[in-house]
Amino acid sequence: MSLMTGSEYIESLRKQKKKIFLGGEAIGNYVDHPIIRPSINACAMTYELSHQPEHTELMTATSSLTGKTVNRFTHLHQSTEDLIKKVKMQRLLGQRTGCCFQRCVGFDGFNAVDSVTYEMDQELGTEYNKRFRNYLEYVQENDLIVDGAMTDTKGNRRLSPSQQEDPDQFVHVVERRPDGIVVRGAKAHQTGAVNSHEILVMPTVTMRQEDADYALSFAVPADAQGVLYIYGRQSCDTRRLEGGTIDVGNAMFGGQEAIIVFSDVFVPWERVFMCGEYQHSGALVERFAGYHRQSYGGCKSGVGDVLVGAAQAIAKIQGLEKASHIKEKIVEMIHLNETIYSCGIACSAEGRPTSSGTYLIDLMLANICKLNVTRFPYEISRLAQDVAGGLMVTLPSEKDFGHPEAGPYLEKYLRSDPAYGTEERCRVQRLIENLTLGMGAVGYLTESMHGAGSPQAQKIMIGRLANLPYKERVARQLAGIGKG
Amino acid sequence: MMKKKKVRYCGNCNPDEYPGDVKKRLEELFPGEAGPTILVDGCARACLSKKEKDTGAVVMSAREVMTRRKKR
Repeated sequence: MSLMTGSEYIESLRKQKKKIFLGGEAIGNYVDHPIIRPSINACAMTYELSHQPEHTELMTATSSLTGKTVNRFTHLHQSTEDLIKKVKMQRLLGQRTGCCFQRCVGFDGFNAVDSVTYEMDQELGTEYNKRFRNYLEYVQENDLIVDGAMTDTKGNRRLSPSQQEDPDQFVHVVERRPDGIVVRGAKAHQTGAVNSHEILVMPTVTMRQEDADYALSFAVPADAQGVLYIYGRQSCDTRRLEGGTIDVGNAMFGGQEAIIVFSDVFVPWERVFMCGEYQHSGALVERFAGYHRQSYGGCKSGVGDVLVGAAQAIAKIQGLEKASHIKEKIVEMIHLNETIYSCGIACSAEGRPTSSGTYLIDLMLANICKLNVTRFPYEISRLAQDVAGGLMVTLPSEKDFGHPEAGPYLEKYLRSDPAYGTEERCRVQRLIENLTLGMGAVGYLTESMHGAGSPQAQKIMIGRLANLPYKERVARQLAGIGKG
Repeated sequence: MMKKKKVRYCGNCNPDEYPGDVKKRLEELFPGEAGPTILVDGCARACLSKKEKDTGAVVMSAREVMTRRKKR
């Protein structure tokens, strides 16, 4: 059964009995919860578009494992063309949802785990890659969403995993059995965790010999015994409980993060892909981060398209679209947004095959891409707020518009260009608020800063990959200086 | 006998025209089940037709689909 539809995906989640806490309560029916449902709708779009003829070229791929048509989110990249299509698909989905659609972390995890386990097997004589590919075949066949879980809670940041006062601050093995392992710990900031069918765990930092029990990669069903979720709050999230469609800004779609707790979870050996091989943990972290930094060139430019469109719409509604400074600001927004996209395309076009056959992006350009993403969406947001004006943050509630006494005043005094309705103006203002200050800003701004690694992580990689001695040599040569 | 009409799209990551509108317009331009194979590029980058060179298919851009007049 490959290629689920959006509604089949939503129904498939109902079969999973997950333990989820939100707002101090255990949630039973999480699929229909008003705070959670928009994030499920965003994931569902990754399924829905795979059935639309005008998008199948981007949304589907031919599996390198089975030869069948699969959703691209479960595919191992087989060429630079695949890498480019990934970025284009992400841009499309960003445009359609205006938020994080949450399926990229698992996708990036597959491609990183595949090439690293292959290299581990070559060097160590293990059979992790065979296990992983069997697992991925199962994922492709059932068109599953897999949460790529990397970020540990990390405890005292001065100390390595094995030096922590609480040994559970990083996910680790607590017991080895003939049939599998038992793991404990937690993963933080887990995008789309609650909406996933499976969890693929990876180490969060390069491990040393003394941290071997933390050099761990495995997969478990998202409702495995001992797994529980504590749902993250988002700015303005309780507006989702008010029942309206205007004040939320983006009523249909949203992102999601949660803490996943692994409370002594059993993992059978066939689902263990790294267990103690600390020498390979760094490569896994680096590759996953590289793929995920590429991803942001696609998804954030897609969401950026929505914000550029919203700025243009509000300029028109407020009668300002012909003002030269407004036009200039919108062009500046486009320039920044397309720069992000260019980096995503560039690191894909410059990709290369790994020894497993799976293609890897150019790591330098992927890090440049992500470092730009830590900055440009903030500037694009500043410009959008500049164009929109202060009404975005002073606009009364949609309930006041419906009030028999207050409503007519708001309708009269908040009308701008008569060609557009007041409600139209409010809806666009709220969308800009959502993306730059509200629930959407979690994905568009803070996730752009810290997701796939904070800016310093990219700077370290850029410094490491830059080949400064070569640059120094060419400079010296032109300056007429001998060897330095 | 005329072959069954087939329409292929580039994927539409950032198209010049809204894909739903292009689809509707194509149905107006090429009504019925029979017809040529049509490759539709969403924008000037023309990813699909660049890849599928020399197939004998009709190549159109989304903008062209939207601006072309229906043949009488």
